[in-house]
Amino acid sequence: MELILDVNTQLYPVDIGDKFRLVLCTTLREDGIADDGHYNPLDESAVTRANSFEYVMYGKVYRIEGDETATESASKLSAYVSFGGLLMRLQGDANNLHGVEQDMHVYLLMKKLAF
Amino acid sequence: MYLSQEIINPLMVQDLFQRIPHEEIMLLGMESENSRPQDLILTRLLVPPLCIRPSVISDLKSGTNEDDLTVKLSEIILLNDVIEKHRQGGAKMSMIMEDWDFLQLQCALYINSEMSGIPLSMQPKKFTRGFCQRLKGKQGRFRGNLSGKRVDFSSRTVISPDPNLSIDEVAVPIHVAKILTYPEKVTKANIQLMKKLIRNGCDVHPGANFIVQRSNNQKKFLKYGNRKEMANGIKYGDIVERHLLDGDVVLFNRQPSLHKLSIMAHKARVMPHRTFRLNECVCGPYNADFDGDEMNLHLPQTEEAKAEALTLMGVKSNLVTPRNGEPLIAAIQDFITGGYLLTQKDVFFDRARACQIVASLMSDRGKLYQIDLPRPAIVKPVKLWTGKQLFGLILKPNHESRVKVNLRTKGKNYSDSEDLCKNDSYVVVYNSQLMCGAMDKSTLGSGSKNNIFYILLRDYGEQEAADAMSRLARMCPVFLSNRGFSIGIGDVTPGQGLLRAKMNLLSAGYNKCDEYIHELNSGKLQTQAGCSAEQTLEVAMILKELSVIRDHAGKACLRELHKSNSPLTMAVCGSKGSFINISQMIACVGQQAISGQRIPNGFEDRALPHFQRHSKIPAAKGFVKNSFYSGLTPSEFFFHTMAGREGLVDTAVKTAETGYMQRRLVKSLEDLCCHYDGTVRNSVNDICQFKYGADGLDPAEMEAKEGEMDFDRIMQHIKNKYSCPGLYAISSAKVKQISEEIINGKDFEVCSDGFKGNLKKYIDDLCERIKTCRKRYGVDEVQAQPNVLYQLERVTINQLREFLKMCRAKDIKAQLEPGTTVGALAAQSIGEPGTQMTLKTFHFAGVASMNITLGVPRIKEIINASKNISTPIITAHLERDDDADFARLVKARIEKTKLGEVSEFLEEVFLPDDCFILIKLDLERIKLLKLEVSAETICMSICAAKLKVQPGDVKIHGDNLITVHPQETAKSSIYYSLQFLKGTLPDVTIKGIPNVSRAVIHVDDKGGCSKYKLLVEGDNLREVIATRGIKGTHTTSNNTYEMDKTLGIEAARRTIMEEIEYTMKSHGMSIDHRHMMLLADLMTYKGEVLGITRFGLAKMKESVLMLASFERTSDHLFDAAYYGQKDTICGVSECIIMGIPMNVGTGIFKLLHKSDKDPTPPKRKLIFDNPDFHIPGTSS
Repeated sequence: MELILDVNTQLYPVDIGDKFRLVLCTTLREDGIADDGHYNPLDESAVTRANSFEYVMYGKVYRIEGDETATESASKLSAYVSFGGLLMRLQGDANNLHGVEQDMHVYLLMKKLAF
Repeated sequence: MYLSQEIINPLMVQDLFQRIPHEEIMLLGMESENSRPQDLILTRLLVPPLCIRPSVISDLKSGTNEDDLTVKLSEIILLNDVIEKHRQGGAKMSMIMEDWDFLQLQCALYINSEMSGIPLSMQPKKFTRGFCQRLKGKQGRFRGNLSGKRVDFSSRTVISPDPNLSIDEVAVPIHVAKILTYPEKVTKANIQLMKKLIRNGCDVHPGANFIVQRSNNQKKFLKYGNRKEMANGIKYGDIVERHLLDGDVVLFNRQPSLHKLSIMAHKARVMPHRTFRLNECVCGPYNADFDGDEMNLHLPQTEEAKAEALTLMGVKSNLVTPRNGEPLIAAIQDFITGGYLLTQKDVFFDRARACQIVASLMSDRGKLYQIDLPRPAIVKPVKLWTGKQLFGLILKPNHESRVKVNLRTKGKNYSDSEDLCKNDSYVVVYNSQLMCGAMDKSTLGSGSKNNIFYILLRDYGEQEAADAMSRLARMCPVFLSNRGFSIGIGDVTPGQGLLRAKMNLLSAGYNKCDEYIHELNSGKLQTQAGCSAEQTLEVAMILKELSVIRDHAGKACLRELHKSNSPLTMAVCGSKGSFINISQMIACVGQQAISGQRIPNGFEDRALPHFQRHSKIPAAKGFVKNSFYSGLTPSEFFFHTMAGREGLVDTAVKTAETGYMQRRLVKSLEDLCCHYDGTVRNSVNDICQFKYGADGLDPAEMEAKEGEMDFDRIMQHIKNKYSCPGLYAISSAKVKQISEEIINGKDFEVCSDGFKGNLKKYIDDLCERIKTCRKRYGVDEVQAQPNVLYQLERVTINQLREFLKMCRAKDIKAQLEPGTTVGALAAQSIGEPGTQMTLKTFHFAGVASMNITLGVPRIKEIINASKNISTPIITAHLERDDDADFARLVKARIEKTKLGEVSEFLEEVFLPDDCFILIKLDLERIKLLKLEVSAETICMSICAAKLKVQPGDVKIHGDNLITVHPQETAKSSIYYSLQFLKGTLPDVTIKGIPNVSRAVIHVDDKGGCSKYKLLVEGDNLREVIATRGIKGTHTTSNNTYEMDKTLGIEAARRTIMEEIEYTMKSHGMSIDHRHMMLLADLMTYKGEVLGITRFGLAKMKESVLMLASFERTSDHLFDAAYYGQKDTICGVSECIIMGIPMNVGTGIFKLLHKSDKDPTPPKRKLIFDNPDFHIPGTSS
């Protein structure tokens, strides 16, 4: 797998060699019920998956692209996610990208790992 | 006895005319019914009524100032009396004759005061205005009073900007609103309002000035009298002349009105202060700025006028220009800067700031009260929204909005790797959300079909596009003024790095130039084809080298300046200024040029006396190495003013020229309009095109650069809009099957075959893509289970149906509406860009030495159908285009070669018994030039050269020696003949085509192999085509007349189209080819090439009124009177003059009634045809 990710480094500095844990999910709620897509600052429960992470972004899968360069029998896919302009490209084997669909909302959760 | 000469006086002439028999009048071309030849001689003088020749009571002296006509009339009466007195007093006959002549002259001057052929002694001393002078000219009766009239309910004042107005609004000062009135009929619905308005009267704004009662048609002024009483007394059907109110439709206009977008219908909004205000987005079509521009505003007076104005001329209906279908009303300047800065990657807002900016979108006018703030892009550690998220709200402010725009396009600074472009300049808008890329000129500004508002307009209609643009106009200034954007001295101060880069560029360039100059002086300079060494140095080497310096300096600025630099930001996002402007401010002003050359010598052998004579160094010829920041030296300053003045003069000259061109174009094309059968006809129903633009499509509705629509974009849009989650993708076979079914079905019957063909081709491509994609990933074509691999090239049944539906809708919308005034549109589309064409009047045709005229002069040549154009060039393809030797061979056949050029020497030889001229041919040279000449052919040429040399006088001595023997004639001695021959023989043409000045080989290095073709300067197309080695079928000239003469009218039509297109393209202007096609068709449909001039126009049009209102008014009127012409009043000009609706546009349709009875009533017999009445004796 190959990852390109824009991070707001003023908020969350990342250095070369840092190890981190990265989770993609469709909702932050512990019960796993999907968001309705609207933002309401009032109904945010305190218990969320975000609590155990340091950096969380919200965005959308807007493009899934195949491998145009391979002539025969390709298996690599790239998924493009935009977190309000901060881009992520996740490239890798199709088997690892199951469940990714175009037009899907995703949360990206990050947490640095100690050695 | 007959006199050999007799002076006949008018009386005799009249008598002669009278005796012309009735049958013979036809031979004179006069129509006998209305006029007879004797009517050409005036027996009485016409005296117009006093309102035509008013007498003005003078303020300065006692008495009155009389009109010219009155003065002339009194003079005539006086003269008449004098003659009478002389006759009675028995004066000498010669005196009476003199008076008579003078009377004759005065009568003639009464009608035309600019008559020619008046003897010097009788020339009138001061200019007077006769009848003809009153009719003709711009201020004359025809153009000043009949074709254009002064109107009421109009106003004019200075304009100023207001981004808070919606784009289709105009703010009208209260002062103006109180004067412009609209006659509104009182109805049940508005009576309360009307009563209130009447009560307010004329001095309070929402008021009224007059009321007209239905019962007695009396107009009452509301300033005086009891308004309350009047208000209570109004009844339904009365008319209230109320003040202009919010929402009234007004016409807004700025001169020069070069195209239809120069006058548009806005909705009025009454506001305080003294200026008209408009949204800056609408500056484009008016070409307005706010440096003191004034604009006019008119208030239409009927409901019909309002309705028509709003649908045809409304701002929202005119977002795109019919010139090429590109949006003209779009974000400008600060809106673009704001949009660019807002959508940068590093712009984040906390909730308070985000809400503040978002709140600026709220407006009462757009009925926008709810805005859905999206979820923040960064949830933790703090909630932050990005600028791109907020930008998305401009497109879709809340969930009630159904707008889902989709766009994928390269921005202005696109580098590579699509979405992940390192300049963040690949714009992806996905369902109205900006996914990546910064907005800039190409996605916000005018002149690009990738404009986000253009996409909105095409997919969701004009209202949504206008609303979104209004939202942008509110949000961007708010963001920009919060963020701050300004320019200071620090922005134009170069840093160390930039200075170093500039010095390096300068010294490198200067060294190169010195090298070239040195090479020239030592004679080593490699000259270019067809140029002298000096020209090569000037044009090709130094000018090129020096102009590159400025461009490189611009690039260096981009590299060296910090990205917060304001001018740089503006140049990068395209809102204002270019890199050259920045480089001129900060680094280096660059080479000053006059008509594309370095500054010419104004002094003896030098441009300014500050430099050495013959100096060719950059500084001596107008290179400015300083920047505006560092300051110019005196000589640099002077050079700069020289180039600056050229620009000023050029604009001044060009405006007059293009204005006249525009007028001619419009006059000739105005009555062409598209009819219900799809043909383009003029007012007398002559067919000009069988189908407009050969496909009957509207240029304003073309979505893609080439072709009608961009299927790829539509497909992408449909896929995003209808994501169909959970639905399985369908196989390529199914796609093919379903689409075939639909396309061949009933719904698509209205679409043309060409369109269906394109659509089918696209579907085939799509199927192929699906097939290969599935194959590559090794999955079945029919989807059976959820699999991420089916996300690739996924098309569902719904999507396919929606796609085809949308394509069909777009195709139907793109059909040209009957009645469209395609002629006027074409004239404006070609004329208007002419005003924007800049200095560049020349351009190299492949080789440096061969110029072709461009710009306004070239357009003028084409539409005038000039026979002698300034740079005729024939492009000749060769039978073998990959062989340089062959090309040289053919070139030698075409190009004129003189005897002098191939001779080693021409000598006069005197022998005791003979004298002659000895010519020695340079065989080496002939061979080198590949000339197909020998001594024999040269002899023939000499004999044919009209030198009075007889074939016997030319003798050949071997391969390379020819002698020419002069002969003694009666006129010249043998010595003189010899000298004459010596002088003229070198100029004898021995090979080549006459009228061809030269031919140049053009090398085209494309794809590794060189292709050769010939560019021939000259007019003789026929001969060039006939030359051996030329591929006649692929040889064209840029001279329309020449093409018409040699290849026929269709070729001429093609040439007109292609030449206009080429000229426009080289000025960076794109015009839909349909406009050019219509112009070319109009110029050629009579079977010969007619220019858009007074001569061509007279052959195209029949109407006298139209011709009289164009040029040479009185000539046309006199002719019409003589021939007894009739005018059917069907064209546009005539209808305007007569004040009746014209039959183009909305006037084209008529109410046609199919009667079941015989429409012609039976003819009643005339009463006296009854034979009974003719019996004598019955009537008493």
